[in-house]
Amino acid sequence: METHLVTLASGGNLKAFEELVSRYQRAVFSIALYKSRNYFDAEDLTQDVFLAAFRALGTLKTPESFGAWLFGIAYNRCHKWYRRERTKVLKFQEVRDRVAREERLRVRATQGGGAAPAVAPGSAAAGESHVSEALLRLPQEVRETLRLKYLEGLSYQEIEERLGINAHRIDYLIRKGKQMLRERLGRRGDLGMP
Amino acid sequence: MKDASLGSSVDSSALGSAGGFDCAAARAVLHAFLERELDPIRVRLLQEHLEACAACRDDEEDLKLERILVLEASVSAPRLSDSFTGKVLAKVEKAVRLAERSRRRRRLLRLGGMAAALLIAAGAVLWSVARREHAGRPPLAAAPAGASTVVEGNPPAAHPPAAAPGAPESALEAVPSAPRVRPPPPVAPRRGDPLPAYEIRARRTPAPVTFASFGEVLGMFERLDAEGIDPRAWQPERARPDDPCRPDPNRDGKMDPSDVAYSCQVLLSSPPPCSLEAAEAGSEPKTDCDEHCLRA
Repeated sequence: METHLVTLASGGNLKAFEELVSRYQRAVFSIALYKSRNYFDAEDLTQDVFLAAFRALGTLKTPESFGAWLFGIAYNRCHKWYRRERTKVLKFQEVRDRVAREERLRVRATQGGGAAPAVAPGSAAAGESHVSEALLRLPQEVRETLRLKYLEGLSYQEIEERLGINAHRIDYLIRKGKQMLRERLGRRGDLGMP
Repeated sequence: MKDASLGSSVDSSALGSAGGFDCAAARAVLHAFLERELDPIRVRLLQEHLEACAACRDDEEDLKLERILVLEASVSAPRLSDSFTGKVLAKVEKAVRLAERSRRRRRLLRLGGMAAALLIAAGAVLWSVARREHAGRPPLAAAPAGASTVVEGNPPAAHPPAAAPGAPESALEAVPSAPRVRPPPPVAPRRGDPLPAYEIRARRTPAPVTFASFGEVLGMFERLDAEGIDPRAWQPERARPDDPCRPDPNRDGKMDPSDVAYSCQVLLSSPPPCSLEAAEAGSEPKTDCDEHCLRA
């Protein structure tokens, strides 16, 4: 059970933490990728998030809400990274290195390497297709609420201010959206829900 | 308030007889709880209910899993490499090792600091004991030969570089080596008498010097302070040629706190300039602080 794993990990048990990492890594990676739109940066960010989480595990008061807490760290880290990167001045050598790295990745992807991302990071396509097709097909209000909640990491109150709908409606839309996603993807076998 | 508005959606009739949640009420707020959008009172009630109800705990696990999967499905993320978990764990292990090392270093530093404080305290106690023990001894000018001061040039008759027979010669650098004659009986210095120019010879093992030298050092610092000169930036070459006070007692080319430390060391190993009784009677200077350098 997750709560038990969290309690063990906060006592320094690395095996338990490994379980948590393997459970949450894709979700955290999704947040990082949505924010950074770059495979390598997202990978680095994900590692940083887990490291920060391990260091701060002792401060987590309710182990039951580990997931929301971890995603909170991910949102904060990604937001900070985004703000820093937006104002960063890239040296010419760095740009060349990045292009070379992406080229290598693209070659690896065409050769069918297992770990290579399906979409080459940094490319225009990567920037546009970071939100999944399943999410894009949801009704606009539901999609926007889910995006703000799970990808931007906003609280109900912040979504309320942003969209002008009350907290009960937001809660309802999120539940509805999750259900719709579950139905659509479950039918295709993409979502392995119990 | 977001929490309050969501929390109020739970009808009070859903609360159990003891004021806790029943399963229906728990499921109504479970989603908000996992999103950390529930108020603290209801969080506590829900936690109590979850501890007791296995079915709601299963629901909670399902919702957690659902949230992870929804997040994964919201972004068309490429597959992470198989070694990713290992990479994260390696980073975490390294951080744990570093934290342990820095914790050990901090502990060592703390212990070192405590040991240094103890040493300083012990030194202070020893110094005060030594002062009391030497309180009855004769003053500086009447000190027995073998004292570490030597006289440059022609010293006044009242302060000869006396070396008593049998005194350890290694403590002195005899300049010049004059034929040994019986020294005249020492005369206690009087106020206003010109003081001899003492010199502290730098050696590997500090030779014992006098209180007078220590006073000169203190006077030196006081005057540097009065003139607004930073002692750390002071250079011996900048000393006035007519300066009667010692610029650099340990002769390391700098005027710094190590000079004070050196002087403290020699102070501890040297006899006092006069007896306390004589000082209180007013016939002799009280302490080294009456040195002319301080008065200057």
